[in-house]
Amino acid sequence: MSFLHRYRFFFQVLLPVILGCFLLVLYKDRIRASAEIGLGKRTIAFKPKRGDFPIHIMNPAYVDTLVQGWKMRGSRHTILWLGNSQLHGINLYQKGQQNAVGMLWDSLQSLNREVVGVSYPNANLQELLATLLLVSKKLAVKDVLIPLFYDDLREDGLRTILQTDELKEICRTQKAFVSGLTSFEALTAEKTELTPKEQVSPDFEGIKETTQEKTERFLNTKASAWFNTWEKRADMRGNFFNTLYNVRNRMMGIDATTIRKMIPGRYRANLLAFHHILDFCNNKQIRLTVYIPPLRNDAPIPYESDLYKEFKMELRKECLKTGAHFLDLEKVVPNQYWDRLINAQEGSVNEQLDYMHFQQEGHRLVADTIFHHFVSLL
Amino acid sequence: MIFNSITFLIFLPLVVLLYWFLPGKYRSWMLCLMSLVFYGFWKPVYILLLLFAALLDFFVSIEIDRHENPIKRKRWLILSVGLNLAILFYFKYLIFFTDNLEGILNMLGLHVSILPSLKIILPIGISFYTFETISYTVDVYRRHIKPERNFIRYLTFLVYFPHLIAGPILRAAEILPQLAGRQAFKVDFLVEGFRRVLIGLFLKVVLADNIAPLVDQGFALPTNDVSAVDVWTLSFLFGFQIYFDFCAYSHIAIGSAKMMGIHFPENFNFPYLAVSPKAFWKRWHITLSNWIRDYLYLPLTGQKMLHSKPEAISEIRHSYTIKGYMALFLTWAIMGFWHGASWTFVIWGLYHAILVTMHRLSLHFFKNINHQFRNFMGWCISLPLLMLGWIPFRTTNLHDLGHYASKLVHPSQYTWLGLRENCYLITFLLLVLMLLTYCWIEVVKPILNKWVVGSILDTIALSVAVALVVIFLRPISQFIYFQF
Repeated sequence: MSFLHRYRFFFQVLLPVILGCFLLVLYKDRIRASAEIGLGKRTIAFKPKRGDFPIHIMNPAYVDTLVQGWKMRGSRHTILWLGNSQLHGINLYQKGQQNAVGMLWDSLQSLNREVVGVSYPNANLQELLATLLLVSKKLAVKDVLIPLFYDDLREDGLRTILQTDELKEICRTQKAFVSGLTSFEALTAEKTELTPKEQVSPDFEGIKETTQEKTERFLNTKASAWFNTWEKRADMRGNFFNTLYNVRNRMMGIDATTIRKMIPGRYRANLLAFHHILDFCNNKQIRLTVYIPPLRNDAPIPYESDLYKEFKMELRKECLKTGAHFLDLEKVVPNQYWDRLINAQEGSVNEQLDYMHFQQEGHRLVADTIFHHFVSLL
Repeated sequence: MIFNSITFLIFLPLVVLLYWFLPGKYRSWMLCLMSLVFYGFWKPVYILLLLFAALLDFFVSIEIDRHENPIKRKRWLILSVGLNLAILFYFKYLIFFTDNLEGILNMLGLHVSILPSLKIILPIGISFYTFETISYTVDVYRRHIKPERNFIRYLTFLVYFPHLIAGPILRAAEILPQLAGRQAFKVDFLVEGFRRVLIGLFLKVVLADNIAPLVDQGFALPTNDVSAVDVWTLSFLFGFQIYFDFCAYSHIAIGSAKMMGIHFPENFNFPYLAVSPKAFWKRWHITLSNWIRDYLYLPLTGQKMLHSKPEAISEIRHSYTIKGYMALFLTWAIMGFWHGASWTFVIWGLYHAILVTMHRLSLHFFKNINHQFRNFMGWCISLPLLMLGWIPFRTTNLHDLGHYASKLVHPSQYTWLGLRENCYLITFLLLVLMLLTYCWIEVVKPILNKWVVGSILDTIALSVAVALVVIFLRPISQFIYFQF
């Protein structure tokens, strides 16, 4: 003990710092990109390109590139397909395969039209509304395609990557389309300093508009350039939380089949966002097609079935009332095209049903059904 | 400069190194300069305001000391306190008062605009350093301390960076002798300081900053979408957030000062384990509670301090008269108002006054009950009531506060849930973790420390904390108490 006491600076300061850094380096090599954690090990995020330009993005920061490509190809009649990870996730992906957006894009060539996709993991309808406002400002959208995931109505708010100054400007000038949504309140406020797009990051929120902001950004950039571990911190955070979720699930017996209860406030906020989408499309003369996304049929659905039926009926009624098209794709993808979600964490054998992502064949069936729908609208 | 940043993690070791390598006579100069640089990282222009406050009280305190005539001494004191409060009023309360006045005049049919739309930026830390300068002048006036004749030393006391922005609220009698002394280096300063800074960063960046989004989302919901269970959950969740956040700041402040051999008083001591509302305020923001007691409550009740150390009053004679209770309620209203220019803060203060009063009045009913059982029951009753107090503190307007309060009394509001399931789970886990941490520190650790295993566990815990702090370190938010 006296030895430990004599060298206490080493044991209580230097050694923890060294061991802490060592742990970080070890952890860094075991993690997966944050955006892909929820997809499981056998599903990848796929973003098709045409030429040098993407036709499907997962981050609104790339809207300009998306628009640039659309212009280069002749600014044709365009369908905007919004969605969640079902749209970009391909299960059991093999080289050369593509997702529904890519397939529909190819099919639409015969009609001299095209489709562009924007999707985020667990995207809620408020985020889809924000994306619609953002993209339609830059791209002459003629059709909008939106899936209504019952699951995503449990989500709320706008992710940080969406809270750009461009969206703030749009929200300020088109307040009617976001009214009543608390997630948009900060964006519609008159007093907000505009920050360059590349600086939109919650990481520096605490020192925004202070002298320290410059120093901190400089040091952060240097640290990221010098230390790979520092640069990967966001992914480490994502993986860390995922581990906590897995621990929670295991301890509480939660799995993919567990019934998800609807959260009243979030449900209402998302339905309000849906009504704003309907209003916006009517106002801008954009044709809206809403669809109930595919669900696997070999297991009971993880929702309260009565409420789920009610939800589908209610939305169908709303669509009929406002002239939007409604498609029910719930049974479009047969069971063999769905897989099990293998836990994204290294070393874990926690295998669960995947209710969200399917294989390329599933994407093909969805793309074909939607293509035929658009043909029927000609 | 914000503590939870890379800038600070470079700044602190640099200052510590300079401090120990410089000859003693230059240390105050260096600390003073570096503290001003630290403050300037926010908005450099407000350094002038700090310097003005320091100059004012430095010279006024000398004048107070110079005069023997009580009337002249009092005049100087009034000048100092008045100017300090006037500055605080301008920056913190002017807009609030004019808004309220305009509101009253509008109700009377007089549609006038008293002031053009002002954009006043609240200088960071102003409430803290104003209290420190006031206590310094009052202590000189009460002849508890002699005025400091070395301006740089006085300025260093006031602007010393660890405590400058959010406390602990220091007394001149505690710090000036330490700044004047020639401290010899001890490795324990670095070891203890490092540990405190690391614990503080862990509490802030790993716990408080990750609880914050849950709290923000909860309070951003329309009040109709929140049930009574949610109000309780949010009160606990915010209670934990603000505790981790503020306790983190105090840890980092105490640890940073410790690295330079300067001892700060403790500011927290497991406040949520308090067995009564009164005990809570002996464990929560201790330096503010002591300040309010010594410079506000005691003068209002007519009691006097013998000297300026916080332990001067060991036993306050509580006054159970109307005047005593008026003093109590006035003190708490001011305490609330100190936190922010909003009626919700005043309500928060008065809520605590009611809790303290109820506790005082109920004491003699339970004096014959078993001590341990009484403490346990006291904790069970006090904790939810104290947590509930965070609702007015966090709510931004009276309208929402009214809605939350009405939810609590309607049985139907206890039958549904409006938050994500994780909120309830995390709240429960935090409560359990807090109790386990207390048991670990108070019971298990002292036993383990007798063997090598204690040191090994300690090193492992510190290593994990280092890794987690690096992963989560982002100046994503300021410390909550910066706004006060």
